[in-house]
Amino acid sequence: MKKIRDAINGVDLRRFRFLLQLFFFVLLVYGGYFAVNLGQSLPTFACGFNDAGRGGICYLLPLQHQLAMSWGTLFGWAGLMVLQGFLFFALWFFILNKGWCGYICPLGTIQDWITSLRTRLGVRYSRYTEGQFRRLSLIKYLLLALMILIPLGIGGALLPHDMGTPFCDICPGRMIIPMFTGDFSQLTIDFSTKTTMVMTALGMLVTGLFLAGAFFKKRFFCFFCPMSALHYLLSKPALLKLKKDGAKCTRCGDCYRVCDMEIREIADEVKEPRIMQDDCIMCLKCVAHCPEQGALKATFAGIPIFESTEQGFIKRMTKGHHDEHKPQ
Amino acid sequence: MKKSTLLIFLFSMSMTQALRAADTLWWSETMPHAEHGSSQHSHGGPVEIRRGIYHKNLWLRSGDGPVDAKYLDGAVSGRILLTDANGETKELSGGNVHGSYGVNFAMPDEGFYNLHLIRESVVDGARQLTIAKSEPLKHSCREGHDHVKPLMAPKRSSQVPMEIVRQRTADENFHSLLGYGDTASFLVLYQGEPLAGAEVTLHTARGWRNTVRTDAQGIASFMMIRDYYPPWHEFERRHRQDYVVHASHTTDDAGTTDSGSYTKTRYLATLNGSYYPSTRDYRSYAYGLLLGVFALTFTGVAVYFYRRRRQHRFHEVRFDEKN
Repeated sequence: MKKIRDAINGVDLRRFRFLLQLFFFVLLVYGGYFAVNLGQSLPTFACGFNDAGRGGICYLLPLQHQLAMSWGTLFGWAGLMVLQGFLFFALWFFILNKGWCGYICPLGTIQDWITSLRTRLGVRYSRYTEGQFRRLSLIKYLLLALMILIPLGIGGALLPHDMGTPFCDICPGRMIIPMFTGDFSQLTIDFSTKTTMVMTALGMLVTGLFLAGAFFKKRFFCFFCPMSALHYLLSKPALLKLKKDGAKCTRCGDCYRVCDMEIREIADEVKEPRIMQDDCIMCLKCVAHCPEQGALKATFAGIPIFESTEQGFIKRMTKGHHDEHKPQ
Repeated sequence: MKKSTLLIFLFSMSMTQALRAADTLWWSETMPHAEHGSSQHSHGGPVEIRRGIYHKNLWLRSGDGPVDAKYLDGAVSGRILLTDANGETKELSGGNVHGSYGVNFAMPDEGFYNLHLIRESVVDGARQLTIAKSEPLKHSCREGHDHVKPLMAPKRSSQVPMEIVRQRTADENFHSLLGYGDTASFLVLYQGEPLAGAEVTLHTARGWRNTVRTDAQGIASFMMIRDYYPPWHEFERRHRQDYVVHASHTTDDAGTTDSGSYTKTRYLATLNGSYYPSTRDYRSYAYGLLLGVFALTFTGVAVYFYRRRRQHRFHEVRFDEKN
C-alpha cells in the first residue's frame, strides 16, 4: 500500500494531467461521433453549439434557456424541470469539485495548449498585480449575475427575446470549440436584429481577446468564468478537496509561484485547512511543487489521494537531469 | 332532425358544392383571420398550448399556391386521417377553426404527425382522387434532444393511394429549417412505390413556381429561392413562408362510383411546408473575422508596447569610493 501511495505521490503530474486533459477533450469535443452523451447538465464548457461532436452539453446553455421561459411557466410546473437540471449539475459537480476546470474543461485545455506554445516560443508570461487580481476576480460574479438576470428579464418580457443565451453569445467556447469539428459557422456576426448584432460582435471581440490573452496570461479566461463562480458557490460539500496543513508549511512560496491562477492564499494561509479559493482550478500543481511532507493534499471523500512529499518533489524537480548525473 | 342541425347541414352542403371537384386542396398552418389572434411559436411551427399540451391547427385551402388559394368557409367532403408520432392512425373530422374550415388536434408526443385528406370526385368522365397531406412536427426543447434521431424518418401511409414524402437531409434535426438556397427533395409514392416521371410543381409564398419530373427513384428536387426583401429594420430571421408541392399522376383505371362512371383516374397529391430566410442572408463571416482579428491584433500589440514601456535601459551607477 505504501508503495502505491509513494508511486502516486511521486507521479509526473504534468504528464498525467496532459494525458487526462487530452482524453476529456476528445470525449467532450468528439464524443458525439462515438455515441457518447453525458447529458446537458455538465459543469464544464462542453459546448452545445458543437452539434456534431459534443459528448455532452455545458449546463449554462440549458440554464439560460430555461430561465428565459415566461414567468408563469418558470414559476409553475416547469420550475421542477429547472430544479431537476440543477440537481444533475450539482451531482456531477460534487464528484470532482473544481477538478472539472483543471482537468476536464475543453476551453481550459485549449488555454493550456496556448500556454505551451508560448513557452516553446520563449515568450514570457504576464502576471497581475494584487490590486488588478482582486478587481478582475469579481468580474465572474458579475457575469454570473447577468447570465441569470438577463434570461429572467426576457421571461418577464422586460428584455428582447433574441438575447436568450447572453453568456453563450459572448463565450469564446461557442466560437472556438466547434472549429475542432470543422464547424466555423459561429465565427459570424448576426445582422438579423440590433441585439444579435451587438451580442455576436461582442462574442467575436471576446474571442480575439481570449486568444491573445491566453497567450500572455496562463488560464486568462478562467478569471472571468461565471461557471467558476457557480462552482465556488457549491464547492463546500464536494467530495474532492484541497487541504493545507499550516503547521507543516514553511512559506517558501513555491505553490504560489507555480499557480496558474496566482492565488496568493495558497502560500499565505496557514490557519484554515480548506485552502481552495474561488479562482482555484484544482490542477494540483501546488501539491506537486510543495517539498514539505503532507503540507498540501488532495482528498476524495476524506481519503488523501495525492499529497506533497519530499521524495515526490525531488523526483519531479530532477526529472530530465538523471543523465547528467550518470557516470560516463 | 332539429331545425338548427338541418340548417347547418344545408349550409355545409352548399359550401361543399361551391368547392369545385377539380380544385387543388392543401393544408396550411397560417391562420386565416388575424383578428383571431396569433399562435405561439414552436420548433414545429405555430401551435396552441393548452395545459401544457401542444395543439395544431391546420386549415384547408383551395387553389394552386399560397398567393391565390382561398380558405374554405364550409365543410369539405372526404376522409381525414391523422397518423400520430407513434404511427397510430385515427380518423378526424374537420370543422370551423377560427373562422375557416380546418382541423385541430392534440400533439402530446414528440415527432412528426401525418395528416391526410382523401377526397374523391368524378368530373367529365374522369375520377379525381385528391390527397392533401401535411406533416406537422411537435418538438419542445424541454423534452431534451437525445430522442430525436430515431424520430426523424418520414412516415409512409398504407391507406392513401398516392402521397408526397419530404426527404430528410443527413444532418437534419428538429431544429432544422429550410432556407433560401437550400434544396428540398420530395419522394412521390404511388400505391406505396416510388413513382418515376410524375409531374411535380412547387409553389412559393410569393407566387414563384417550378415544375420538374421525378427521377427513376421517384424523387423531385427544388432549390428554394429567396423571396423576402424587407428593409433591414423590419427583417425577421424567423419569417415563415408557406410553400406547397403538387404531384399528379393519371391512369387508365375505369369504373363506376356513386358520382358516376369514369374512364380514367387522376391522382393529385399535395404537401405543404414552410421555409425561412437563410442564415447566409443575415450572417457575415467577413465582419466576424474582421472583429476577431482586430481584437487579437490590438491586444497583442498593446501587450507588446506595454511590456516595452516597462523596460528601463540599464544605467550604471558609479560610486566614488573616496567619498
